[in-house]
Amino acid sequence: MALAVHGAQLGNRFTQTLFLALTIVLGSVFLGIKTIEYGHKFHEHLVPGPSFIFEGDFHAQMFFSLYFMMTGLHALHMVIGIAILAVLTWQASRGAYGRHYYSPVELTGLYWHFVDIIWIFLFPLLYLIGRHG
Amino acid sequence: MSAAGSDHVVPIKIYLAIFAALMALTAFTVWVAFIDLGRLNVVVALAVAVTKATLVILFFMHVKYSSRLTWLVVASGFVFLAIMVAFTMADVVSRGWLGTPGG
Repeated sequence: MALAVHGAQLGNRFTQTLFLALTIVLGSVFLGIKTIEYGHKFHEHLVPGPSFIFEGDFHAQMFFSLYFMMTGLHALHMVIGIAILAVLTWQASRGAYGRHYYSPVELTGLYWHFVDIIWIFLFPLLYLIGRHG
Repeated sequence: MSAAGSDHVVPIKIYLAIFAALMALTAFTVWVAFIDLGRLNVVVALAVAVTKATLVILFFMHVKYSSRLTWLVVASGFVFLAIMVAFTMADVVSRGWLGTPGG
C-alpha cells in the first residue's frame, strides 16, 4: 500500500496499479486464512453459545466472544478497505491519479494503515499472550 | 496531502527498511511469546506492538514528514486514547476493593 502511494506520488500509473492490486491480493489471503480459522473454531465448538464446549475454565467463553468480536470487526474493516481498493485500482489503471492529484490513494493508504495498526495490537493480545504457560 | 505535488516523497529504500523492521519485530514477538517471562510477557508483547505501530504511523502514514499541525492532531489522539485506557484501568485495578454486595 505504501508503495502504491509512492507510485501515485511519482505519477507512475503501472506501479500504483500493480501495488494496489497486490494489496487487494494480500488482504484477501489474510481474510482467506481467517475464514479457515473460523471454520476450525466452529468445528471445535469454540463459538460462544449453547453449543460451546471447552475443557477447562467456563470463562473461556468470554475470551472467544472477544476473539470473534474483535477479529470480526477487523475483517469488516478489511472488506470495506478491499472494496475501496478495488475502485481505486480501476481508476488508477485509467490514469486518474498522478503527481498533482493523488489524495484518494493517500487517504486510502491512511485507512489501510490504520486497519494495519489495529492488527498489530490484536495479534499479540489474542494469539500470543499466555502462550508460554 | 497532495498540495500540487509539493509533498515529501519517501524513498523506496526507507519503505523496504521499515517493512523489514516490522517483519523482524513480528518474528521476535512470536519467538519471545514462547518463553516464560512471567508478567513481563504482556509488557514485552505490547512494547513491540507500540514500536511497530509507531513505525507505521511515522513512515507509512508519512507523519514524520508532516507539518506540526499534523503532529499535534496525532498527539491529541494519543491523549484521548490514554484517557480511555486510564478509565478502563481504573475499573480493572480497583475491582474487588469494596467486596461484592451480599457476598
